[in-house]
Amino acid sequence: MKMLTRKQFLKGMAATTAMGALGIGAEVSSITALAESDVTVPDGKTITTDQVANLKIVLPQASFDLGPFGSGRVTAMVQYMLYQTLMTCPVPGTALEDMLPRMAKSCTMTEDGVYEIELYENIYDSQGNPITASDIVFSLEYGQSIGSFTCLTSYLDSAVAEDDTHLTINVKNEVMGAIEQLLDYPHIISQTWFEAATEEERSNNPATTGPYYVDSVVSGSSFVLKANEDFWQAEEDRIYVDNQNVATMEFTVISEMAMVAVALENGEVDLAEIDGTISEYFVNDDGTAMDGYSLITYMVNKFNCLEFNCSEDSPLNNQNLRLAIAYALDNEQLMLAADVALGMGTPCHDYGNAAGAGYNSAWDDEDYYDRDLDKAKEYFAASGYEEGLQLHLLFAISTAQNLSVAIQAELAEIGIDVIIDAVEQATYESMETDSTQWDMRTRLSSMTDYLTSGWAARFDEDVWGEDGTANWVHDDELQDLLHEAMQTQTAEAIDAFHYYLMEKCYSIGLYTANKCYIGQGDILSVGGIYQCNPVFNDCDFTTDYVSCIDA
Amino acid sequence: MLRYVLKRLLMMIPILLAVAILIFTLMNFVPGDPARIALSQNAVITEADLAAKRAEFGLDQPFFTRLISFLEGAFFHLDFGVSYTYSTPVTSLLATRFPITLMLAFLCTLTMVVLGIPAGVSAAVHAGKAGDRISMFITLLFNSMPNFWLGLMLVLFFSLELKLLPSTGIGSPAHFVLPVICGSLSGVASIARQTRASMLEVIRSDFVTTARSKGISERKAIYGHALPNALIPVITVCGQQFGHMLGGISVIEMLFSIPGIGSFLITSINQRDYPSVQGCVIYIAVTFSLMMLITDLIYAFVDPRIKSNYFVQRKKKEKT
Repeated sequence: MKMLTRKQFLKGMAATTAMGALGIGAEVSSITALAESDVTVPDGKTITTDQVANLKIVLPQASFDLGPFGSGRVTAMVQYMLYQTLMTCPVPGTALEDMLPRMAKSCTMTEDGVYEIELYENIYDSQGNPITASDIVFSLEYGQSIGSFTCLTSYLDSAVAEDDTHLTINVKNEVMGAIEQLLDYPHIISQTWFEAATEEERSNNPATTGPYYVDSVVSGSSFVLKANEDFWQAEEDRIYVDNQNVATMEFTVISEMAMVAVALENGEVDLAEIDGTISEYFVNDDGTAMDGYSLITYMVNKFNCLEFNCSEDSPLNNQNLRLAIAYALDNEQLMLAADVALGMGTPCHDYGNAAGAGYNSAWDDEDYYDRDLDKAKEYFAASGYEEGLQLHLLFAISTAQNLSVAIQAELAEIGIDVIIDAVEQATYESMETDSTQWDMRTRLSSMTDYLTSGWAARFDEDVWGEDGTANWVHDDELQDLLHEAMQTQTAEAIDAFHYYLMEKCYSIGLYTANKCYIGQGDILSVGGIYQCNPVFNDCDFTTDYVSCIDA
Repeated sequence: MLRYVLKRLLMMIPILLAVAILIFTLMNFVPGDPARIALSQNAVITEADLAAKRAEFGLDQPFFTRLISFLEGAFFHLDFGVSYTYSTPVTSLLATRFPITLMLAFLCTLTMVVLGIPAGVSAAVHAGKAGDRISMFITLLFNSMPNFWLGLMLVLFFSLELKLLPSTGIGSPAHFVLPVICGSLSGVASIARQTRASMLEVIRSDFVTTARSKGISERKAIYGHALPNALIPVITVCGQQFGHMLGGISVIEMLFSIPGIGSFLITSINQRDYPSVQGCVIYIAVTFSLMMLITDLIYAFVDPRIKSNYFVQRKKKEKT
């Protein structure tokens, strides 16, 4: 099994930047156009190879569950440090033969849909419980039973332990990426521990299989992770997500972005994710970090989009009307209106972005509904609707509200009167499945590894059943092109779907807001990226680094 | 007195039952699917995932089955279920947060009383003069300032500019200073104004004039004779404020990232975490009811006429 060094990993990543010290934002647009250099160290500074004592990181939400099957944004930020998976994909779309080993030494396909996995020996968790093949089977089956990982419900047929270090996984739906997801996503735990633990112990004092364990938790406020000095895996066998560059990580909740800014300026925290509302306090106009800070940005597998209700209940089942709207909108201006500064985001050129494997960077140089009011008015006239047409825009208030206002303003220029229905997230999710409640909706869509996964999530009839797609499209050609792209992953098939979707304009990508972290100046990078989260335990520091905890 | 207390405690049971049924029903019919929210980080959410998650949460069972199970757990076992968000028993989560909220509520109420009552007394004693007008203006100012804005201003000044106090979180007494100031200023205003109004009524009473004519000092006449008689409405306000705060000062807790009951309730509502919301609401109902009971008992302690009135009524009942 080939081991990727960090340099090779960075070269292969879909989107990252390790140039935090220079404060250069990522403007990566293709899987091949990447930062090939290692971390850049400022003049007069030296990068440290020692483990640093402390790192204090801001959590954006108070809801977290540190158990192996916990869900949520905050939980996803740290789970990889607490629980190992069988193997991992260093970049989205990594094929099986290039996956990096964690608990599993190897995975070999013996026949169609059947994979044999060999584990390392002497694996144990932070409480000393041994991890064998039967624990792997338990972890997969339990995760499947509670619907924690989509790949388990979609792809896992069965898992059988042959002996302590060998198991067989049977995949029921052999699509591209199926076995890779089964190896990369589900967390592995000891069955003995899990069944004996109380609910509180599972969440607040779990037996972890990763490089860190939970030292303390103040529910809804903070938690502390410490490097497990008795971690089962030898240092030479560890990959980047299993590093222990930091001895103690303290995570503290600050849910208000204004207070995050205060905490950073006060030196009360070392590292925090920020958004455009406070970037002006830390980022210069040229996209570099202000003195004393580091800016780390990278593209994520989520993007903002506008979906049209293509059912009979909405005027937007009219293709010309949809195209009129698409050409009336300026993605870059919408991004700026949503407080995503240039350099901290990228306008979309597809229903997806470059973080998904298979994305064609050539699309970035082509027309993608580039704003053209004349064309928009022509399409509007061709639609048969008159000026003053009212359309309802469903909008979740947890997202940038100015985005909806900007859409309203731009569409007013072609005579469409947008009524904004701003609702809270839970209400949004219940309304979005009702075709009588909205005409357009803004949405934060995501992909897993492949670009086509994001397409499938919204346009595959196998997922949405008799509704057709997420927005009630019934188009056989769309389905054929989608399945071809999903199965073959060839550039031709992907291009074919991309252009067909553009032509039909069922939904449009708007922009991608990069993840942006601000750290104190002696934090040079957040290490690698794992499932669109920074690898905090792989951060790079200068020798002058002193945590706010120690200051 | 004991009978009175027991009677009030027994009266709480049907109230809490009604609250429990109401909140359970409301939460179950409010738009939003807890299973979908729990899986919202997944790129793809299949119907199988949703079904499995709903089964895990027990949402696949009929409404009345779940209601009976919830009521039985809550009233007989003090078990509100397991939080969908934290995967931890709700009772345990409330127990963790209660001391923090209690501390915050206590300090805020103490501040309100310590500052508000003397301010009100002073305003009443100097009624119509400059001191009265100035103090009433200041209290009106405090009452008008929104908590959220005030909190941000305090943080900007004391934390960012002067670097005297921490801006968020808990962990030391210093962490409570700004939240307490922010949470108590409008209460100071309310108590000061209430105290002033009550004192103005009492200060001109015959017994106060008699006390003065007997030669006691003005200070003793005001604080020893007038104030105790003016305290009943003030105690009511204090009791209500404290009771409300025990339910969590949501704005303060969200702003300063304090893991109290208020922020827990807000987070749970947004996540459609039914067990947590139900647990929080019942907890708030219990604490508020208990607080009102304690307030009524304090009346009897402060004003002997109320206590003796109770005994007279009881004797009348016994005779008939």
